[in-house]
Amino acid sequence: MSAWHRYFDADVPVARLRLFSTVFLLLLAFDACFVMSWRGFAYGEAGFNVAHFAWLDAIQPLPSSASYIGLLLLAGIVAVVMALAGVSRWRAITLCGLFSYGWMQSQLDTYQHHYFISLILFCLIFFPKVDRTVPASRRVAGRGYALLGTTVAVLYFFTAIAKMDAVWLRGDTMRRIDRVHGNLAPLEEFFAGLGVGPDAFWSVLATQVIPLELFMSGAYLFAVATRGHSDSRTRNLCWLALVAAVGLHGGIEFFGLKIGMFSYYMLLLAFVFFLPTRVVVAVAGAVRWPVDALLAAVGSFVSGRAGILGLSGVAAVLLLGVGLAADLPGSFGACGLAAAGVVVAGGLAAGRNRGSKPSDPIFAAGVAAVLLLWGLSLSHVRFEFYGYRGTWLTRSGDVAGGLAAFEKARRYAPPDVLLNEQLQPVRDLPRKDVAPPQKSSERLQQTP
Amino acid sequence: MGEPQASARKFGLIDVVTVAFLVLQIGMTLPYYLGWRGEDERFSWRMFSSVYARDCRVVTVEQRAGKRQRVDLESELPSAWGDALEFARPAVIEALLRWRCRQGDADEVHYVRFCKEADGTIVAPIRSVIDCGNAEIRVDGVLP
Repeated sequence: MSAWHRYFDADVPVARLRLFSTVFLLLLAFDACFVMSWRGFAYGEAGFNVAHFAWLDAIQPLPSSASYIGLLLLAGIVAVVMALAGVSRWRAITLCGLFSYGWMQSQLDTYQHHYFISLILFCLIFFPKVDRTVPASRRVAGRGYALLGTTVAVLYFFTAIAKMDAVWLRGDTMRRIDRVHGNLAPLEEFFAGLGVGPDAFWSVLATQVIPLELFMSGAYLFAVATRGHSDSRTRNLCWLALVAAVGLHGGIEFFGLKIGMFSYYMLLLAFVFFLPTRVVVAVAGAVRWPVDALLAAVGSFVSGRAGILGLSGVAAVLLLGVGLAADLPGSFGACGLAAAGVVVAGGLAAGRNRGSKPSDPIFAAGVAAVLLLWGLSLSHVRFEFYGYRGTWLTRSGDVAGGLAAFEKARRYAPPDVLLNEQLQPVRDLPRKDVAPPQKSSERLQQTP
Repeated sequence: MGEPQASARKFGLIDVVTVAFLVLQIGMTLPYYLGWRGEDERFSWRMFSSVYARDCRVVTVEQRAGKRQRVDLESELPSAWGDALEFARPAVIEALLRWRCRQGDADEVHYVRFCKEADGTIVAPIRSVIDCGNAEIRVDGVLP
């Protein structure tokens, strides 16, 4: 038995795969639909775009707000379907393609963790398809899991290497980043009271991240290699790695050093890889129980060809309705494509009259539609999209278009934002330096 | 728990894909650390880097009949492109210069980036200029 296959092909408890795929895919859907999508306001504007790869620039059409947002919403719907109905190879390939093209198509997307998500989605392609009735403690092929853990180890290794420069080691980078929110100022003052000067404080704070990330890299490789072991050394090291991950990424979030939702993904990975199996089984069970119970209930209620076709019709109508109600460029196209997919899937399932739990993905698509509309109503996506769009159009000289966008932004503005004062100068005497709408969200401040 | 239950396997297609995937990851990242990609930190896992922490500004100037005029980029391009321009990504700079040539009747279009490091040190400016007549681009200063 080669070391390679012992490392990559050792079995892994279903619970770890199930917990990771469910939570990760729901996070991804949230990220794509409600964190990333509003940035589509700039795509293709002024006829200018640069893709991340020259070969893509040569073949792709000019992106647009509609194509970008539509792509992300469709990716979000597919992610929810996979989260609820389970990972299958073709769904994973589809989602990997959709999401990856989403960020590849333009260098407007500067978030490196979107590339990391693409790598994770590629690993999901190698997750085995496991029926939801399979006990969580059962062990299955671990190739996808090993690939995922190794990918995370590579990430941590290079993030540690990346910090080995004089400017970082002096702490200047962290000091400058902290100037935005000042969340680390109380800690700096605390240590100043202990006689630690600001230069030493920032230098130590920055430097300690490097061995921490190198340790995390090794810990992931160790966790993958020992996933069948339960000796005390393995357990202790995994607990240490979990504490380190929570400290590192929890600290990043707490002190406002945000990179989108990167920290949440990393914390999830740490929980999945380093928590003891019995804990993961319990958590996965708690997470999946309501989902599986609902799917089972729907599955028993919807039976036979007529039931499947009826469910497909309902899900498709829901998707189309949400696509219209979402009021974002590309939303109807995305939901329309999803609806078409649901109808085709329902037709195929009904025609074959076989297959494991055919109602699961169809029902999950309907749930995705509901979650999308609910999420849009609670989030600031439409406000931010139309607000930024209004600012851009006004500055570019399209005052009428800018005003129309601002009026839409006002429709979706959070209660604590007053747009009338900002809109009045645009109405009366448009100027190129009119300020963007006041925002209650702080998400826009950080870019990598 | 017992020992890992790995089945006996020969090196197959999935192993080739695994190797290719890992090589691709490392291949996307390593060039930056070997100095082959200048300041282009994409795919390098440099998040919160010293390059990111720089304070930069970009100036774009057009030249017509010997006269130079500054381009108000904020009214010509969405501000979201600011980061890519400040990071001086070669493909973005080239695209900007060619795009600007197509927009009007300029003889030359100049791109200049000024930066200060997080510790206040001045970074050597990066300059690129395109001759709109023959579409040739010259890069002065340090290549990004």
